Amino acid sequence: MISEIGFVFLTLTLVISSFSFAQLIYSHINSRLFVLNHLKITNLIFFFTLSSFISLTYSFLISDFSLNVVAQNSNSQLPTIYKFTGVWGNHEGSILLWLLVMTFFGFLFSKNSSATKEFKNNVLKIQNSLCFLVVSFIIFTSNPFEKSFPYPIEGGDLNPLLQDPGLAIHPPFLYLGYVGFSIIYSISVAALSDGVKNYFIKILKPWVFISWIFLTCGIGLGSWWAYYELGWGGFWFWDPVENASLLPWLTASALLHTIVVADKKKIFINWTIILSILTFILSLLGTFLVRSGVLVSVHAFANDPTRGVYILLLLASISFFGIFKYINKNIQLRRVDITLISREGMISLNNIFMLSLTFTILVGTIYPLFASVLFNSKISVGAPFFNSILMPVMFPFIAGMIIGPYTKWGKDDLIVLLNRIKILILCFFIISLLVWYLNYKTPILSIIFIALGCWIVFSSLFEVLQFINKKIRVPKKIFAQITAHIGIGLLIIGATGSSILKQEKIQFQEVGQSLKIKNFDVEFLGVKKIEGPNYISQMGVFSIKKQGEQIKILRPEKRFYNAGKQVTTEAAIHSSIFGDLYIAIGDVHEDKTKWTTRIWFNPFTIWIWIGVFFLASGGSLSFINSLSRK
Amino acid sequence: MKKKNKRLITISIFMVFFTFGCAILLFNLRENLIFFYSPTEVFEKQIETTQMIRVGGMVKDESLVKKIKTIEGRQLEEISFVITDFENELVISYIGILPDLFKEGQGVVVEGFLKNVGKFEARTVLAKHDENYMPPEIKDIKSIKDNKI
Repeated sequence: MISEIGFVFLTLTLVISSFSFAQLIYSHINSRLFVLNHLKITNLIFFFTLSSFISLTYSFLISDFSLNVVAQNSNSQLPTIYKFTGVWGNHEGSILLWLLVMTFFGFLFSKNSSATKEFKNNVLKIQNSLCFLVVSFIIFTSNPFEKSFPYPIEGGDLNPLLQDPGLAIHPPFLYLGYVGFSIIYSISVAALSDGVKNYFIKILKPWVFISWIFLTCGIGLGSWWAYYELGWGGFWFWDPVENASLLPWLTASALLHTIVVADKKKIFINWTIILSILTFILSLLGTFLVRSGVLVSVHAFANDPTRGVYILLLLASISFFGIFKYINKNIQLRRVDITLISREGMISLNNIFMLSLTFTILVGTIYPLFASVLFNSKISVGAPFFNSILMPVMFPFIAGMIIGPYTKWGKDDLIVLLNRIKILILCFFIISLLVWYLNYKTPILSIIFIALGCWIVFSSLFEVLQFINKKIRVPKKIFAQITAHIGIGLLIIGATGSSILKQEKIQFQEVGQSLKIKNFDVEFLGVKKIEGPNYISQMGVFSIKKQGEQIKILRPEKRFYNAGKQVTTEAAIHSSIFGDLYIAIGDVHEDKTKWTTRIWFNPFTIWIWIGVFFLASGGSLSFINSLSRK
Repeated sequence: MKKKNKRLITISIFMVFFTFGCAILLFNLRENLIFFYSPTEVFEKQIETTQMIRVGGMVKDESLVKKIKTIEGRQLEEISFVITDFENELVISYIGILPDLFKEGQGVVVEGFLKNVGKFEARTVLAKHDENYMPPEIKDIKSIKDNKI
């Protein structure tokens, strides 16, 4: 019963949002005949979608197996929390969540924006039309309220890999980021037909920050989940699905820098619009790649090709509309000359690098797709490609990141600039020597990148020091920038440590046998059988000793889920600021005394998560600023 | 005129960098491409033993064998299994922990190097996240298509 109501609400969303869509398409013909209040439509579709989502959630919670999605992705034994997160642990439910977030952003915009009513109406017309496209996708290709009769008494299982708190919160965050770019797209496209008045930058700004923060957290949580749940010892695999989330993040980061200049100097306005449209297109492309299953990915789930075609059409029409509006814009902007050694120049440089990276990763990600269509050959692009491209780009990128914040607006002189930061340059030498001294045995590449990471952190701290010296409080805006840059520095250190310096040991380990890795002794004490709420677990017990003294007991698991007859690996990790000791347990040998164990030492991995936290905090500070300065 | 010249120079510098960048990109791409073959193609084509490739097919029933090997004083488990496209077979050997969803009678994709005829040393056994998932590459192998559905 409840599920029928959910479907009715979803249909109502389709009907009502179609009005906005119709007006968007026919606006040139006769707009007077058809005057609509898109704000009201936005409110209505948000509440309808919310009701629809709540009824789906309710069906999951009461285990209503007459619904196909519930029957396939949930069962009565599942802990309540995973019944709840199971709502978006499948294709249909996750697209409904996508729609909910989209209408929610429209709703927030209608309530909390300083825009004029007319501009709001224009933005929401576009936003509602986007919602219309998504809701028709849901109803025609992936209806979560589809029923079957007779229905099963017991459901299947939520994919055990997804039964984990990290994954439970990862998709909503990622979607808040991805879909947040829809409102940025709507604002930018609306601004194009509005003659691009300068005030639109101020309206756009907070939405850029908030979406970027969510996307950053979403990617961070996703890679954290992959790190401890998959048991592969790594956090990033250059997999198409991961790349898909990185692409909009890169362009959004470029946008983040550009919009600050656009706001302050009233230049780069065109460029801001291009980046906004591009970012949303890349978000959609990501969804297409993930949802259509056209690419072979380690994260692949079972897919339905008809959905892919629909998303591709959606992607094409939304891109076409954005580009069409851009070409037909009725504005002439003044041209400004920019010198490289200036804040504007540095931010342009940042954008060039960000876009080069985006382009490179895009080529690497979709090349296999082209190759299979054009040459009918089945290929994939290996991780070495991405690493070999990323590394050389990092050097000028980091240099710009260090010098950038010290340049003046307008015009600056390189010699004067270097003179200004001569103490900092001296510090760099000392840091590099120190890093080299501490790690002289390790590969040269790791020393370089760790030193560069430290450089970024130090140059950011040095900025703070300069303000303290002049006895002025650090301006909020600069404080946000410093926080985010420190985050990038820490991220580089963490990523270098856990990729280049990683140590791995895989072997049969007998009960009682002790192994040495780094300066830890890992003693295998045995295996216990544990019963969880809906699984049985083989739990290995390892005693971790440092200089003969026990510091921790680690318990990696191999879980067997009853309902789906699936096995998952739960790694056990001992984190410290110097590195993670990471243990995964495999199968038992026939003689029942040895087990396959896989032990890693991943240096500095914790700094990746701390780095992401700093990035998100920096973003949040900027977001708060952009709100209060309106 | 001077301004125009300046623009021309900027654009040409940009073009040079862009072309250069694209050249590096394509060169790197070609170096790092990993081709996918079915067991039949592995036999038909000349594949270098130094080239990393991917091979996919169905894991043959009752072909999974585990034996102990000692390397550098540590005992290791060497796993071997046979993948088939119902026309040809290939023996895969692998040292490591098999992905959780690995099962006999199901599709699998492995990445590694061809050793000698009919033998393949896998560096990675590609994991799946979903039991019902079948990599499109395996689905497209003709002989598997004919036999399966």
